[in-house]
Amino acid sequence: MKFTTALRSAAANGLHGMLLICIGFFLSGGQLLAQEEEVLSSQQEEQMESNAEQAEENPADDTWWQQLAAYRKHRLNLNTAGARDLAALHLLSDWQVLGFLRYRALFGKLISVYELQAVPGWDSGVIRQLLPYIMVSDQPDGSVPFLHRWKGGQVSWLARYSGKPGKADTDQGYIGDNMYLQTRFRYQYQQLLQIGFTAEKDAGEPFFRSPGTYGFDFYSGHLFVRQAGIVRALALGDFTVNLGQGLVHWQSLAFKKSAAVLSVKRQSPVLKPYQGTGEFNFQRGAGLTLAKGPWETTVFISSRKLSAHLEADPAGGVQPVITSLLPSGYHRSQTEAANRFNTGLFTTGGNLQYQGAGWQAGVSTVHYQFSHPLQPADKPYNRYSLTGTNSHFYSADFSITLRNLHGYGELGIDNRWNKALLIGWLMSLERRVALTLVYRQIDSRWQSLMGNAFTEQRLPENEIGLYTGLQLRLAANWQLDAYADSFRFPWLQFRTDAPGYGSEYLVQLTHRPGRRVEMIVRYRIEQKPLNFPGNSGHISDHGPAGMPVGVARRQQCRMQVVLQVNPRCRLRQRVELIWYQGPGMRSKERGFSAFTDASVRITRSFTVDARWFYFDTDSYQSRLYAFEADLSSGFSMPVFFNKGTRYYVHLRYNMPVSLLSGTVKKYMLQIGLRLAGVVQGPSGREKMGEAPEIPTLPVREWGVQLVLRGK
Amino acid sequence: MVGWHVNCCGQLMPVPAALPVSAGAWRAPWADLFSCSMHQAALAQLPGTMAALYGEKTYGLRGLYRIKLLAGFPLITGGIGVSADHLSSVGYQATQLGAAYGLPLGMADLGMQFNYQQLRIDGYGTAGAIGCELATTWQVSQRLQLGVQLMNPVSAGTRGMKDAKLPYRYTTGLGYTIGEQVLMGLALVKEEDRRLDWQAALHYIPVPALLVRLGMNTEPVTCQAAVGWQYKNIRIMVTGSYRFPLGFTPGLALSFEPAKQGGL
Repeated sequence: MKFTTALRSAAANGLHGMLLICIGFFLSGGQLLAQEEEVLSSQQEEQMESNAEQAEENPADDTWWQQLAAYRKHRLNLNTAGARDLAALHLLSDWQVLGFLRYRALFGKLISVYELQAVPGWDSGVIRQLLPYIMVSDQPDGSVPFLHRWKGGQVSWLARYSGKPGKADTDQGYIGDNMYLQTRFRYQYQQLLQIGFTAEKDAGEPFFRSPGTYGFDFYSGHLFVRQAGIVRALALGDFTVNLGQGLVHWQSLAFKKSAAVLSVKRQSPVLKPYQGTGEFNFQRGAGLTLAKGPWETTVFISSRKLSAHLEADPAGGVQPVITSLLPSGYHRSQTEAANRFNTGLFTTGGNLQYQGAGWQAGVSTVHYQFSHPLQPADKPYNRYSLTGTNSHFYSADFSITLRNLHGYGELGIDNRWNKALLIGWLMSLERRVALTLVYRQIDSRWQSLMGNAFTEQRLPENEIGLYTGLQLRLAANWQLDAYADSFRFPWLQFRTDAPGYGSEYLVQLTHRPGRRVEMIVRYRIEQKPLNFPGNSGHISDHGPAGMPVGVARRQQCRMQVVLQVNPRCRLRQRVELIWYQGPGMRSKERGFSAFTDASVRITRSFTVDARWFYFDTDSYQSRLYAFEADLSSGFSMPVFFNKGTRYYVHLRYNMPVSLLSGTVKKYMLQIGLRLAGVVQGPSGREKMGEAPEIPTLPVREWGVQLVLRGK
Repeated sequence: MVGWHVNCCGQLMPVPAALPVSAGAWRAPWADLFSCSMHQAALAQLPGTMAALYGEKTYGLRGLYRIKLLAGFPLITGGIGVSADHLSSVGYQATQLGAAYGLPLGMADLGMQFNYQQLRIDGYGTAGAIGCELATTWQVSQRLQLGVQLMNPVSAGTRGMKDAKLPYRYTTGLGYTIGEQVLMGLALVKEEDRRLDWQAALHYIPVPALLVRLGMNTEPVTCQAAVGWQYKNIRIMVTGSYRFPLGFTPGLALSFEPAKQGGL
């Protein structure tokens, strides 16, 4: 504390300007490569991979990536940012957010970003990662009149064309060509006004041809206003809603278990603009958040179309019934096209919050109404699935901070009186030790359509569990992260025909001998109940009659080194080993992967990223996911299984342009080229019972992207 | 036989049985031509003109032997190396010729090698293939190095053997220096269609003229040891390895190297 007071005094007197310059130089070192493009840390990539692994799909929502890019241009003011704003960056653990807010409450507004080193729990690595996205200013947000925001903001436009060369996949029954096409326009005035439009077509989907003449397959637009008087947020068009701890409704990016063991709490503004290309998880309509003093209230209304699988009502009703929703957004084949946006969903809801001194409480409600009744397939694991056209959810959430303890939680209840509970604690036991506990108890009958809580399963349902996370700063350059999660499924689920128990453990050792080097060793083991394979040898949705449910065990070991050779060049090397043994398997399956990648800024305008990735797994069961950066504002997490070598090369060139002669307005045009492919590609495909076919990587793919941004 | 995977696919030239694993030995004073031949990026730090000759009597079996000839030349930037390797048994001979180059880049070094490998089996004829090796070492910290090597990153067909190709091999390892006399190395090797091989190595220089190496593989389980003594520019290294149940392999290496300071 004495140091902090001295630092502030010296800064005010101007006596320690040299010290601040030195600190600033230290903090800025090693960040130069990341100044123009978002470069996720190892931890963030691992969080994304964990999400993809759990969901068994490549995520389509790149909103976070775009948000970071937006913050790079219009930085978050640390003197006015709230807990949700900081947490929404996904660059800070929950405890680091709390530590900062407490520091600011105690010492007042920050004078300079260099003061951040005094914040408990913030080390130089965290600060360096945040620097491109934050600033310190005395100017209060929202001080710009609403009409002034329509001029002087930043305009950006993106067009992307990518895919695999050759004829259309007619053998797959796809209607359209192999190319992916996306265009996106955005106008943004700081964080106060944002207008966006997105149009996208996936590979295989038709483009301005039958069936239908839709042009692109997916269109999205939004108008989002922040901080206009008592209007904290106004959303028109497409937006996301995030309530409580995600038991009822959460649509923004949220991470499950990962090596970021302290990132367990859901925090986000209730309303956020939707900027992604995913075609399922967002609202379309209007939302409004009003704030006055400690009170904040949000209401929203949404009406949109979803793609769903419809079948004739087995009870003989006139209306078809929805047997499953189709969130993938693909409309490539005749069947997929026939299911395109064939179901309506009307959603209303609201949230009321009170922010006290060190505590917060809120209540939320969401109501869904489908145009057709839900009637999932008559399987035992669907016994408690939502049926009918209506469902209603209510919840109450809280958070409280007492000295070194932060508690939070949410209790949800639906119109069928089913309940869901989640409670968490974050504790700073000592300066170098932090502990977190999360308990969840969710009824088997609780079926949340749009929930995304900190649970083992993708949706918060049918689960009881206790999670414990621990972070130790062993020495100056050593950090140990570990978690243990024990959970139980009281009822059946897909591919598990009996209630069961499971557990998951992770230990990660991180060593940073210098600011240019990071080394990680991680070990994870997970055990979950799973059906024995059916007669075909594949994991089916129900095992042979009379066979008990077995245990699937999966172990992963990862070793990674990241080396910032100089401000222009970053190298990374990773090796990953996997062992998998499922029910009925006599021996373990093994998986191995290794990659080396490099990011090199050849000149100030020209950057090259490349990766060579070798993978060798026994089958899909011992699969692995690896985060792949794409051209600007893009990423993917393909699944790798069987044997192959994957490569990609990204070339990016920035050039200033002036669109109108005689104007002083300058723009930056970025031309991006992507070449990727597989050598010795994985053979064949594997079907997983009723799950969709697992896509294999294309032998060769390429992409071109243009991004035009105002300077 | 050490390192062989006999099936219808092509085969990589195996690592000499009696040479200890060189994990971590990529820079002076630990690197020599043998470690350069296993990791080409080490050529980037070649201290001077070097040549070496190695021979072994594999498992002490009659008719099974190995001869390896190496030479390295420093350039203004980096170094080049050439190698000739011959393995012979009754009715079976394999020969490999290689040319390599190592480029220093400060904290990271790069290396590349092209090989021509020829296999002759009595009664079956002769097959040849061209292979490629890529390697890089990173100076992670003052005492820690990381090495990565890719062998045949793109499958190369084998001329003369239908449906055969040279398999892929990926090696990554760490070398950690303890003081000025001890180097510990750990490596992981994954060859196509083979199980993972863990390698550990200990390099010890008690006095500048003396070098001791101990090594171990897990796939197959093999232990190696070598003692080298240098007099002025000549170094003699006696090597040996044991693989259960095949037995003991003696080896002898003679090399011409720049004299070491403090040596005899």
